[in-house]
Amino acid sequence: MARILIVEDNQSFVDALVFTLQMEGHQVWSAVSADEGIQSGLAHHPDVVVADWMLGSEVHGGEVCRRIQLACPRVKSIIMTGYVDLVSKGAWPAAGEAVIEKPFHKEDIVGAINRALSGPPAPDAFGGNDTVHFQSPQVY
Amino acid sequence: MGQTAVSSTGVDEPIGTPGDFARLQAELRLLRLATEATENGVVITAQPAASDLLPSVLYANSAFAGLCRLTSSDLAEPATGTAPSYASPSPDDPVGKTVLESHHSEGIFSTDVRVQKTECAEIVLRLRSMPLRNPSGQITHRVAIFRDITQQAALEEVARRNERLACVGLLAAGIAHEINNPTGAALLAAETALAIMDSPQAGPQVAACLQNIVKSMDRCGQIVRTLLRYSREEPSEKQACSINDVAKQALDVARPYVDGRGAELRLELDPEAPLAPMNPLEIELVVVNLIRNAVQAGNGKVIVTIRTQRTADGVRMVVGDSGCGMTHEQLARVFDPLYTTRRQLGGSGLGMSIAYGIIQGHDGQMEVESKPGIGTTVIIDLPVAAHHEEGGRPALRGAGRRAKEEHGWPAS
Repeated sequence: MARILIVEDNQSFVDALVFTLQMEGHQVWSAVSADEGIQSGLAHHPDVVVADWMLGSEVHGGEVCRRIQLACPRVKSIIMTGYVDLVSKGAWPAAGEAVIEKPFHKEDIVGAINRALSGPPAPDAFGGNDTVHFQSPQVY
Repeated sequence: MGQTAVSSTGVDEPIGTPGDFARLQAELRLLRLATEATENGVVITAQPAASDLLPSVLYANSAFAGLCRLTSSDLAEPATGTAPSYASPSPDDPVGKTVLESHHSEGIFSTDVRVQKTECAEIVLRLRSMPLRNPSGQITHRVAIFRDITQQAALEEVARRNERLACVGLLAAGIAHEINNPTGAALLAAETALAIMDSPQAGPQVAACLQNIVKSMDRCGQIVRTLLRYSREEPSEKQACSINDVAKQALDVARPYVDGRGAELRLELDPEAPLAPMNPLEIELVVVNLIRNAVQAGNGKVIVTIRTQRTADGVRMVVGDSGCGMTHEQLARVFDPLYTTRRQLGGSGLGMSIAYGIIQGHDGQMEVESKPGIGTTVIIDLPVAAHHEEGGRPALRGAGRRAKEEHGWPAS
């Protein structure tokens, strides 16, 4: 069982994902905006943050993950996106440990979470040289 | 003879001597040659003495004759003292009709006209007609120049179609993204339902999954319908519609875009607003465009207000925003095609000129008021009794240009 925070502005998607992960035995919190996501992350110290890239605000999902990592350095992050273009063009910022393209199957997100949990510790979000600390995003 | 003219040297010279006559004839011949050399149709008409008389043609070059499908004999030099054989433009001919129309104007007249050149080829001509006045300011003649803008018009049409499609793309915040959310939600819900359905207590949970699927698929259908409505090439047909319904429909389409940018939309609809003849899709496109502009007008949270109201002869819609407003220079160019302050952000500069063309096509009025730092207000007036024009292609008719040049636009 892992502690998972979902940050996603589409309510139907949140409902489906929360339910799916709960059925897998995880403890799940959800937030429908960037601000709410950051607050929830700081309050609950989850193991994994699964955040949508586009949150309908200036603050995108990668930034949400980065801000939570500042307070909880061990948190792993998975970025969800429907913008296939961004992934294929390599335009991805380094904040996300993994990227998962929407729509995805249940086994995709479950697998991504398992890999994130068993992977190396999250990059040090407190600074240092980004190019050394941040790894290229994995695309599932 | 006693008449004098001012020469290029500024010295008054008597005219009427045989030498002057020969010089004037030579100059006239050169001018004629120059006019014949251009591919543009040129015609000079005399303003009729009374409004019920037709203007007569004083001069037309052979390019103009070609556009009107006249033969060279129609334009043969008339014998002295006789009227030219092409005496007045014909109202049955599209080119002639625009020349007649131009005589009702007091200023520069500009419009586009489509001409069937051959059985399967249509050309688009842009007319620019200028009045010539006598010293007391009365219009005595008009010079009309027809330029073939078929290629340019084709490019503009493509740009307009792209703008329409870009509008959908922008509003849906990326169609892929919009579609992938409900699809992804439905996929997860269906798989979870499948995984738990054999469990004895699964009933309510499976029901929740199914509800999620229904809602998500509904949203998918809505996105696709919006896409199809905009991308379809529909004729510009007008029917009696409620401006309030159009405003609500536009709001539904723009909602994801507005919410996505933290803007706030306020709707103040007048239940007394009468039905007005309009193409609802075109007016909706105008409103969506205005909402989009309004949302983009601010750095912080923008409040966009859409108000409808009954007027003396129709309906009015006001789209106001609390954004950054426009400078005098920006306001003066707001309807210019291709003018944009957001080129780097993907703006084509066509949104407002298309919107203006659509409103003109509805015999309506569109005005913009703006103050830097305060916001911008766009006022659209649509008449209840519109003149129905046949074969209308409002976006290409160029009426917007005409109104602007004659009346200018209100400053803030």
